[in-house]
Amino acid sequence: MAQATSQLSAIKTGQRAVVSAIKSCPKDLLHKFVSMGLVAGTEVEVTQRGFFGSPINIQLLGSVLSLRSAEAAHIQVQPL
Amino acid sequence: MNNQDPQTQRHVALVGNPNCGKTTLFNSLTGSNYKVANYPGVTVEKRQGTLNVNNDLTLQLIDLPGTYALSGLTLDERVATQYLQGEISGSRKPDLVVAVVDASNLERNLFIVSELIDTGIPLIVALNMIDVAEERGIKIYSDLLARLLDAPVVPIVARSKRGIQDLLNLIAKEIDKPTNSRRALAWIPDSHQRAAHLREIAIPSKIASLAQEDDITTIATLRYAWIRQITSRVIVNSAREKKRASSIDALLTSKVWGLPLLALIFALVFQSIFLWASVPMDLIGAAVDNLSGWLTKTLPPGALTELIAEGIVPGVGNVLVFVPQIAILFFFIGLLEDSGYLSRAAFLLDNFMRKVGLQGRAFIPLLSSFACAVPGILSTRTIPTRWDRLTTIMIAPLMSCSARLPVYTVLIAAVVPATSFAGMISLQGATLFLMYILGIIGACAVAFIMSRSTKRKESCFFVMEMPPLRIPVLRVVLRGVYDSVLSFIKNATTVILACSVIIWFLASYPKNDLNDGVDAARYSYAGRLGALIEPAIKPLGFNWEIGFAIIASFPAREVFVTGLSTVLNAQDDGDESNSNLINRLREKREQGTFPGATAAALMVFYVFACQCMSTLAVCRRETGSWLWTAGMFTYMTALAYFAALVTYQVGIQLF
Repeated sequence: MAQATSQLSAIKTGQRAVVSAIKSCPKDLLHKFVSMGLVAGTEVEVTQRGFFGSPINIQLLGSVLSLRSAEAAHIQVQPL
Repeated sequence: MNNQDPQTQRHVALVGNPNCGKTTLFNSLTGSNYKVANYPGVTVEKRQGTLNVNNDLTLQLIDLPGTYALSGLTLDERVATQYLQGEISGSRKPDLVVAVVDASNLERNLFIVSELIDTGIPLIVALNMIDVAEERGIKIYSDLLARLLDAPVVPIVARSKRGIQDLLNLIAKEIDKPTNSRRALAWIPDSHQRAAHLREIAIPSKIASLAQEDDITTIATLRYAWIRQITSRVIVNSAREKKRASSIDALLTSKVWGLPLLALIFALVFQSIFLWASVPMDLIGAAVDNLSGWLTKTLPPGALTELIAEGIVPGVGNVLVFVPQIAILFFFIGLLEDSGYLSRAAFLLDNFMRKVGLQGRAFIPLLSSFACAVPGILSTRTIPTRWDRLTTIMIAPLMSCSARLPVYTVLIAAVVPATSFAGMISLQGATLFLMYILGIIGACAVAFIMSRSTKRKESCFFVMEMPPLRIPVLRVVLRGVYDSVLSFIKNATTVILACSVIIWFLASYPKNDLNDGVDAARYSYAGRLGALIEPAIKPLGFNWEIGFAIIASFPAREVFVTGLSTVLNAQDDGDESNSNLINRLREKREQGTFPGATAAALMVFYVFACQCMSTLAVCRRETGSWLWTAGMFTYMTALAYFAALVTYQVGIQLF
């Protein structure tokens, strides 16, 4: 049974998830996300978080991406 | 017949993600036959060099900025796309594109490759870093990949030049092929309901302007679907499936150890800079003085000799003295960047820096500015968003640079008693520290104001790739140092040269032939200027002598000490040392003509004043704008004036 989707910013360190959608995101940030591989179907894993929960480091497609918690909030994921 | 004329030679463009080894490849292929400039009208670097493919073929090789895509809204992406369309003035469409792709990260790297295929320009895919992929147990079937992409694929390792000859042979073969559009837009399935619409807008240069949010997502999803059905067939991943984040990385970014390690690393870097740079700096300083003296003795006496020996040589020489410091600083920054550590630093600091209106990537440029603002401003290139970059550039000179040390040292020694608290904290040391803190507070205030005064048309995003940690390659780092130092020297010998001439002229003329007891300094134009501004600077506790020294030190603040020495005739007894100047100032303090409040105001003035021609020149270059450069000078001068005013007025009440 599929779990409810949540925001990437809510995913805990060490957890894996699959991107399902990107919501209400400014265009230039959206371009940035998709060019780095954040599209529906991509699997991500949260590897590290900074002070006060930001930035968040995620592993995806063979590299590590660092993004702020507010940026990650745009990304809807399905926890695995 | 080999075509030697760069104007008519054919062009090959290198395109690829940042950190994929593209620049390493460029350096291997062009050796020392390259030059770095800017694309017209923008502050994006253009690297172009000569590629000798073989005895019969020479081409021009252009290293485009590292980009993750062609369709985005960042300046680098727009410049790269325009270049590929032939829309940059002064450049034409390339005859061939070599896409440099990171083999250990193939899926994401193929995104830009699929966009390149859409442009129809003949394409070669250079599959770089196959050694890293092999280490990780990743095997790629490059022949199959070539068939599926319908473009030749050549495995290489740019760092060790493995496969380079194959690449050159391939370039020679492909350069004459006509435009190839067989696979363009192959990622749009005919069955897709909006295929026709997508075909219309999916040209990289159009996507940026025309595509709506859902178009962007749809296009990207389709591209990745196409990429995945290729990678699933050509990649065999035999080793441990996930690359575990190394324990070193975890340590560097940990909440407990991250910041202390950061502080330690930078403390070591700065210690090394001051330790290693002092000997060459003294050598260069002495050489400049000797040259100046030798020229005065050897050349016939007269205005021209004075101009050269006392104006140009010391003027330019005193700036070149900074080359060792800048070189070493850039060396360390290069090491830290090539190793991937700087991204970890930005990660640790982003949150804190945002509280003052900055961002994580501003840390390195600002820290470097404590040694010298010139390399600090140059290294703001890593900040992708314009307003953040501008803010960082504007506040960089407030980080008390090493040129301020002579000024602080002399003034502190002259008026601050050498006492200490609890036998450990010296009053003099604490005063010095206070000056640095003042600069930092000022910088935070300005950054904060700048962050509130923009409506932010472009959202500032942090999203960045954390490159894998690795041992830096010395060759790459040294080349970076060489490029930066060269550009600094070019700057110095043009702008500073011009200003040195002007300042020398103002300080030497007119000569006092009247023998009426008025000393030469007061009689000169600079002295008269000092007297002219005296009413304006009196509320700061400054007189015309200090005014003269301030004016003289506008091109380079270190000149202040020499300027003040000259005007106080501290050199009359032949002793040009600082200690003599310090004694003179102490005498004046006892006489009441140089009170502590004046010294304090003077120090505060130097914390904030923009007295560095090199900084302004670099600012002009990096912002591309005279307006912002003038703005920097204006706000800093105003800040210096009012801070000094407050300091003096409060000071004379208290002391």
